[in-house]
Amino acid sequence: MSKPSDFVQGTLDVLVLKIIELEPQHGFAISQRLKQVSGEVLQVSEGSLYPALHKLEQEGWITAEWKATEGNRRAKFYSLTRLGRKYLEQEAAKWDRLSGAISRVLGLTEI
Amino acid sequence: MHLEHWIYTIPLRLRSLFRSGTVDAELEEELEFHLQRQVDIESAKGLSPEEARYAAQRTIGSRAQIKEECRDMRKWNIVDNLLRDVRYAVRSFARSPVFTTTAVLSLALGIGANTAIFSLIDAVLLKNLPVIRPDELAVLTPVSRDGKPRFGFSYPAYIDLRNATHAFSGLLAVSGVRQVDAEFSGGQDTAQCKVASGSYFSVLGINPLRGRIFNQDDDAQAVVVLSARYWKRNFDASDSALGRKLMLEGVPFAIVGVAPPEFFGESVGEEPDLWASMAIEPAQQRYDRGFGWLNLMARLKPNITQMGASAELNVIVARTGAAIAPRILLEAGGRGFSALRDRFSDSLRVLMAVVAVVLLIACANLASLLLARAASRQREIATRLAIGASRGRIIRQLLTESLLLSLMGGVLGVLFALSCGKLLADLILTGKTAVALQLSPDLHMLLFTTAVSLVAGVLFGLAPALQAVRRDIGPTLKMSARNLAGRQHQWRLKDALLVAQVAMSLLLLVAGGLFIRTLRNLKLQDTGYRADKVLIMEIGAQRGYRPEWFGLIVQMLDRTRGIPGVKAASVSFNGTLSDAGSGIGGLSVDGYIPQSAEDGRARADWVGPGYFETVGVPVLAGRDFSLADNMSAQKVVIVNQTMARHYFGNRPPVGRRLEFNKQAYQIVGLVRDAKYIDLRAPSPRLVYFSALQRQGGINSLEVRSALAPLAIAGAVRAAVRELDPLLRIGEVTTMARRIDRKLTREHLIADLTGFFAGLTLLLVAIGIYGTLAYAVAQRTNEIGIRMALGASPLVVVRMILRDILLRLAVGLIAGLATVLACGHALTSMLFGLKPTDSATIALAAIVLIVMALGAGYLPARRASRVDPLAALRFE
Repeated sequence: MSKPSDFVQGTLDVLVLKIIELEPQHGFAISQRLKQVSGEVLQVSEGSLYPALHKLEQEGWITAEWKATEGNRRAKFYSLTRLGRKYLEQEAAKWDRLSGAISRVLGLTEI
Repeated sequence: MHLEHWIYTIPLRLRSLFRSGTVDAELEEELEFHLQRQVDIESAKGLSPEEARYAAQRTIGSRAQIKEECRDMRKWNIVDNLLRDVRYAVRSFARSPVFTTTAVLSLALGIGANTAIFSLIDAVLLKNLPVIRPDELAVLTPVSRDGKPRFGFSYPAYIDLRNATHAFSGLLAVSGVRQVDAEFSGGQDTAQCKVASGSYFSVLGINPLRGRIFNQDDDAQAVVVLSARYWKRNFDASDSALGRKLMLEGVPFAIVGVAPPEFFGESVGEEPDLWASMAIEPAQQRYDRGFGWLNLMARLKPNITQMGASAELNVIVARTGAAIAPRILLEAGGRGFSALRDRFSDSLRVLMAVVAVVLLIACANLASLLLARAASRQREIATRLAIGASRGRIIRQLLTESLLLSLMGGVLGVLFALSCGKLLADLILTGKTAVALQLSPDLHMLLFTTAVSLVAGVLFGLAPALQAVRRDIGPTLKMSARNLAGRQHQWRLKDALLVAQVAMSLLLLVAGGLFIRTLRNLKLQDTGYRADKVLIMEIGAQRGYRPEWFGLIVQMLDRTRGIPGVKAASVSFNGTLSDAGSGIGGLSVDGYIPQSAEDGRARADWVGPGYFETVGVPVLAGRDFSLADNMSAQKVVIVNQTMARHYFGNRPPVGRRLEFNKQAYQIVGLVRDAKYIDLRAPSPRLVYFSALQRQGGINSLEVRSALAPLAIAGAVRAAVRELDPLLRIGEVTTMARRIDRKLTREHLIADLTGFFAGLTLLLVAIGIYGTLAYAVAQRTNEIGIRMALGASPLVVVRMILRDILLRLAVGLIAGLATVLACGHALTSMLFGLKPTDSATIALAAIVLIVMALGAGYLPARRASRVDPLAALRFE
């Protein structure tokens, strides 16, 4: 049972949650979005993305339904649940605190 | 939050558990969709459809691995995987029935043996009495000044203790089981009776099934409580039995109640028919302080420790000036009294060790079978690892297989134990009185077996599983299956298993051999009697009946000798080779200066005219007793050799005098030493008095017959009945049976250890055969080449056997070391040989070597018949 390795553990979850917060997305779109939004910095392999999606679904943070895409193909769309939204807020706040703290510390050394 | 959480997740989990097919299909579709989109992107870059697809697949990576990881994310995946693994395991078992059968049967034998012996141990040694709060119970044992336990308290001692102690919430007194003649309207029989104090049932916390239990006043009343079994047997379980009279030894007792069916009393191994009140014992005996016949058991008050109670008891004992007992030992009594426990605890412990070794050998077999199997599945496992299965996942699946095997073995083992349990109980319960053990399968036994199976499965499945996934995938995949097995250096675990098996097997063979030879030594030893064709009949007067013994004995012998086929007849007080004995002290012998009080002690019996002729003990000097040695004649004794040697050295004893109890006796005979009670002990100093010169009765009639002794039993019994209908006839047996009964323990342990040693031999043979057959199959190619290059079949056989012989030798040495190190633990159970008896050890080693070579020969012969051409073409 290998863990997603390309991200700091747990970060991928938050990023995925954030991406589908605005509107439901399927897996491929999520990976494209992530690449695009992060300016190609963050790339997620399919080997990490799908297990992560399944885990989030099992946790009850996201829910999935089969819908037609623009190209009229059937795809599995993931959307945020109420629980997922709460978890995302918590995690985002935590991340803000942490990154803020790290920035401050790094800022210190620059002076 | 919790509720909401479950609303989302429960349907998902149920779905992944029960509709895993659909879930997998959806996952497949989802990934396919992803792939298609990737293909679209690659095509947009101008690649051909085929190239685009390859490129897309390269970016995505192993789809199988993604799927496996997604499955792992499903929470109920564990259950799901388990079901899948079980299905997979069952399918693969079905494909290799020989492997499966061998593994399951070895385990079933190992686990079954353990379960059977454990249930016996549980019943005899471990189980608490079926009473309320057994942990509060304590057993009181009177101890003499030198710390030896003495038998029984007198009734007055019980009353004293009951009145003086404060640490107990109750104190009960109960006798041993005795056989009594019971008569009721509509029938009569011989009942197993215990005499119990009024407090008996209330201290144990037993409520009546019908009627009432005893109360304090019942010590003076003639009342009786029936066992549920006896009530059903003789009173059709009818309520009308209550209040009716039951004649016990001719005295009417009122039936006041019935005990619950699961209650067997306070002693494991006994099953009394009824409990009579103290009134059954005549007042004269009951109030005799010198008559110790009661076992005492107390219930401690909740806040009192055993130590506190013990201290109080011994203060009381000290105050009464040893009128009760010199000292009293207080021990935990939750498991009750048990003669069985005392007698068999050593044997049962040894047997438990023996079956544990059997199980270890069976498990080693399982492990080596699994190893061989894992080796032949290397490629399958490597392939699965390569396409993305995690090592943990594969280990889990291999463990599922071994656990499944051990559980199947466990189930079969329990069935095996249940069918043998009765047989085992019969083996140990060959006593005089009917004995009963609760051997039904219970929670203890099931827990034990489950634990043993699980441990066996995990412990012995884990090593092969770990070894299976440890290898590098790459080289394994490139190699052929045959090359894999050829890498000898990877077989260390298997070697170790075989060595351990051989060592443990030698240990059991030696133990089995020692016990069998002990039994043989005991059976073949000279007991001093000519044991064939002697009938022994227990005889006694009914309670309260005081016959005129002299006339009775004379007439009894007369009539018995008149029966056709009877060659000689006599009587004795203790009964030849019975479990009873007498001792005398204060003996003084003419011309002998005693060094200590011990010199005044000897064992004694009172025997009738012609006794030595009857039991076949040769009279070496002087004469046997005769009818003339009666009350009006000179008091005479006959001594055995040990006695004569002690007091007179080499000088002739006949004609000398000894004095005992202020009475002078003339020694008129010297007889050969014969066993007295204990077959293992040498004959003690023994004085035989004339039964006709004793006030009081005899307990045993001995008859030497020209025919099979039991053939004349009916006639002898009829003669005694006709002579005096008030005489009670107890056990009727033969001397040979008495000897056998004294060897019950030795029989039990020799039979079972021998059986289990044979079993392990079989297991080891299977192990060796399996290992070698496998190795030969794997090396067919190599053997073919060797033979093509000119190796003779003999060389091939030697090559195959050489490996086995080396391991065998190491195993034998390890086993020998264990025997030498642990053998002394058996010393007390052996007779006539030492635990390091070289003949036994040599024999065991030879048996093991022959068997191992036999098991190895078949595969080796197959190897030698390999057709080089066929073998070379095979690859």
